[in-house]
Amino acid sequence: MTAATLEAGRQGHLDLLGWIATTDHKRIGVLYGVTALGFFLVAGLLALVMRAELAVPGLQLVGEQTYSGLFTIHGTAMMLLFATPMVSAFANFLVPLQVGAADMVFPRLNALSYWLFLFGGLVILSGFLVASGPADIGWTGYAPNSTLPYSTTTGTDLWVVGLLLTGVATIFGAVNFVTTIVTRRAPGMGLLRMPVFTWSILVTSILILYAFPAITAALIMLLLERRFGATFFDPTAGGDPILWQHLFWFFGHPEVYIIAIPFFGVIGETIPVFSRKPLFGYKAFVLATIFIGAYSMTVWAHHMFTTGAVNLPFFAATSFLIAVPTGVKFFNWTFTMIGGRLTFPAPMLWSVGFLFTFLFGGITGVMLASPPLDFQFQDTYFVVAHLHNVLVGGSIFSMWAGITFWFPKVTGRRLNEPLAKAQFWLWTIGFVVTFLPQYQLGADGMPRRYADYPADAGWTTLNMISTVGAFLLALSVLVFLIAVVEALRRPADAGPDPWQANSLEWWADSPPGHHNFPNLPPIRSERPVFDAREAARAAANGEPPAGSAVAPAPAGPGPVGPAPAGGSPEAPA
Amino acid sequence: MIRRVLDATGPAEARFFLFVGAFGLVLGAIYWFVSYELAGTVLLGGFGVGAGVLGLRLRLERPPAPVKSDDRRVHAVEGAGGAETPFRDDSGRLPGETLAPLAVGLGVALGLTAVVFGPWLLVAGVVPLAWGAWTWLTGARDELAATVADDVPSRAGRRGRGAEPPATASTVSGPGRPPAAPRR
Ligand code: HEM
Ligand SMILES: [Cu+2]
Repeated sequence: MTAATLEAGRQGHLDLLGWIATTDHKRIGVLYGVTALGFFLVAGLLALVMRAELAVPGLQLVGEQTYSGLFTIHGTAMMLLFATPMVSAFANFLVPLQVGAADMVFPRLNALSYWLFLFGGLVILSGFLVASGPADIGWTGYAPNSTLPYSTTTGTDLWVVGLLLTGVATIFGAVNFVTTIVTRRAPGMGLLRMPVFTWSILVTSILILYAFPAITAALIMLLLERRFGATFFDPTAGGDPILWQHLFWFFGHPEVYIIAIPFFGVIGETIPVFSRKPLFGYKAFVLATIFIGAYSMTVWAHHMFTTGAVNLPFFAATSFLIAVPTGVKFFNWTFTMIGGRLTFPAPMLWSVGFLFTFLFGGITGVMLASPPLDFQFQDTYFVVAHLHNVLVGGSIFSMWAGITFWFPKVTGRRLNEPLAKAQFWLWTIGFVVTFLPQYQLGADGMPRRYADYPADAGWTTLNMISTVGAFLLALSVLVFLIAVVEALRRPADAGPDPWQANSLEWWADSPPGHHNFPNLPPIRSERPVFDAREAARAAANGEPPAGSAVAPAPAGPGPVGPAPAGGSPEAPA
Repeated sequence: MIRRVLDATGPAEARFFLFVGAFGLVLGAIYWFVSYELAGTVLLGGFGVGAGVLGLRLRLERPPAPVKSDDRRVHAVEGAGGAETPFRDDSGRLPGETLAPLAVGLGVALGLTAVVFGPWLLVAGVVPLAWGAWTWLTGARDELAATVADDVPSRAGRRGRGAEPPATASTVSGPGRPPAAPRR
C-alpha cells in the first residue's frame, strides 16, 4: 500500500518542512493538539504561580498588578489557546476519518487556521515581554475596565489583536468542518449514521459560526476605542459598557459549550466501545446535542443578572431548561454501561471519572443559574470552583479520555497502561483536592481575582490544601508526558483497531495513510467497523452472510460478505 | 405541521439547517417581546436568517450524481442499499504541500500587530502576505485546471475520443494515482 510505505519511509526522521507545509488534516490535527498542549503547559504554569502566591496570606511572589496579568492570561489561554484549539485538534484528525473522506473540503484554509491560531496565541503571550506587562482585564475583558483610561498596558492591546487572530482562525475552522460534514460523507452515511463525535462537531461548528463573530466585532470595537479614539463602551464619553457584556456573553456562554459538546461526543464514543454495546439511545443523544447547542445560544445574560439590565425570568428559564438535554445524555451514557461487558483501560477510567465530576459541576451550575444564589456568590471563589469543576471536570477529563483513546490511531502505539492509569489517579485526586476547598472558600466569602487575603479570615488552611492539589495536577501532567515519550520510542504496532471499536477511523491504518482509506466497509449503521467485524466473524464460522443479523437490513439485497481484503482491520495489507 | 412540511421533501441536511434557522428566528422574536433589547435581538435574528438561507440553499441543491462503478468507495454504496447519500462528493484530489498558508498567516499577524507597534510592521507583513496569496491562488488555479482535465477525458472517452493524461496532474494526486511525492 503506497500510502503506508510512504508513511513508513518518512518515519525515520522528523520531516520538518513536511510539517510546516502540510495541508493534510491529520498533520494539522496533530499540530493543533501539540500546540494546544504547549499553551496548556504555559497556562498551567501561570496557575501554579497563582496557587503558590495564595498558599499563605501575605504577598510573597507577585503583586496585585502581576496577579491580574496572571489570571487574565491563564483564563484566556486555557479557554481560547488550549480548550478551543483542542477541539479543533480532535475534529481535524477525526472528522474526515469518521465520515470516510480523504481530507477536509478546504485543506489550505485549514492550514491557514492553524497558523493564525499559533501566531495569535504568541501575540497574546508576548504581553509578558513588553515593559508595561500583559493584559490585566480578566479573560472577560469587561468594559470600561478594558478601555484606555483604565487599562494602560500594551499587553491589553496585544490581547485584543491576538484574540482577533485566533477568533478568525476558529471561524475558518468551523466553516471547514460544516462543509466537510455536509458534503464529504461516504455514500451510505446518512446524517443519522454519523458517529456522535462528528455530530457534536457539526453542532459545535454552528455554535462557533454564531458566537465568534460577536466577540470579533466586540474586539474590533475595543481596538478602535483604545487606539483610534472611538467611544463604544466608555460611559463617561457616552458609550455603553453593557454592550460589551452582551456581546461578550453572547460569545462567552456558547464558548463554554463549544468546549463541552465535542467532549460529550468523545464520551459518546468511548463508553460504547468499553461496554461492548451500541450507544443507548443514539437518536436521543443526537437530539440532545442539537438542543444543548440551541439552548446555549439563549442563556448568555445569566452572567449579567447582577447588572440589573436583563430580563431575569427569560434567562433563568432557559438556563434551567438546558439541564434537560444534558440529563438525557447522562441516561445515554449510564444505560449504555448497564448490562455491558465493561472493561476499564485508561480511556474508560477517564470517561467514568468525567461522569462523576461533571454531574457534580452541573448541580452547582444549576444553583448558580438561580438568581438569588447568583447574587450571593457573584465574584467569590464559589464561581472559581464551579467554573473549574465544569471545565476541568467536564471538558478536560473527557479530553484525556479522547487523547488516550485515539493515541494509538494517531501514533500507531498504545500508551503504557500503568503510566496512563497513574496519570488518571493523580489527576483525579489533584482535582478534588484543588477545587473542593474552593467551594467552601466561596461560601465563606473569599473574593476572586485577589493576590492576597487577610491572615485572620480563617482561609489559610483551605488555600494551602488547594495549592497542594494544584501541584498534584502538575505531577499528573508530567506522568502523561513521560508516557508519551515512552510510547513514541516503541515501534508502531498497535494495528488499525486496537480497542475493537465502532466508527470508520478504526478501519484505516494506524497512523492512517495519506489518503486515509484504500477502501471502505459497507455503512449500514452508525457502527460500520463493528458490523464489518461481525460479518467477518460470521463468515469465518461458516454462518450465512449475516447482514440482517447484525444490522437493520438494507433496502436492497446488497452483497454482504467478508470485509474486502486489504481493508479489514484483522488483515491489513 | 411544521414537522410534516420539513419532513416531506429535501435532504436531511436542508431540514436540519431550516430547523436551526427557524429556532433562531422564533427565539429572536420571543426575546424581543420580553426585553425590547436590541443587541440580543439582532444577534439571534441574524443567526436565524443565516442558518435559514443555508437550509434553503441546500434544499435547492441538485440530487447527488450516482457514484461511478470504478470509485474506490463502491463497497460502501453497495452496502448502503440505496440509502440516503451525501451531497456531491468530488474528493480524492488533495493539494500538495505548500507554504502559502503559513505565509498568509504570518503576513496577517504582522499586519494586525502594526496597530500596536506602528506601521513598520505593516510593511513587514505585506511581503509574506503577497507571496502567500500569490502562491495560494496559482496553486488553486493549477489544481482546478488539473481537475477539469481529469474530468473531460473520462467523459469524452465514453464518446470515443482519446484520453490525454492531464498536463498539470503532478501538482495534485487522485485516487487512481499514488499520492504526490513529498517535497524535501
Ligand atoms: C488544571 C489546573 C488549574 C488550576 C490550578 C487553575 C487555577 C486557577 C486560579 C488560581 C485562578 C485565579 C482565581 C482568582 O484569583 O480569581 C484561575 C482562574 C481561571 N481559570 Fe484556572 N486553573 C486550572 C485549570 C483551568 C482550565 C483547564 C481552564 C479552562 C479550560 C481554566 C480557566 C480559568 C478561567 C476562565 C479563570 C478566570 C480568569 C479570570 O478571572 O479572568 N483553568 N484558575
Ligand atoms: Cu453561561
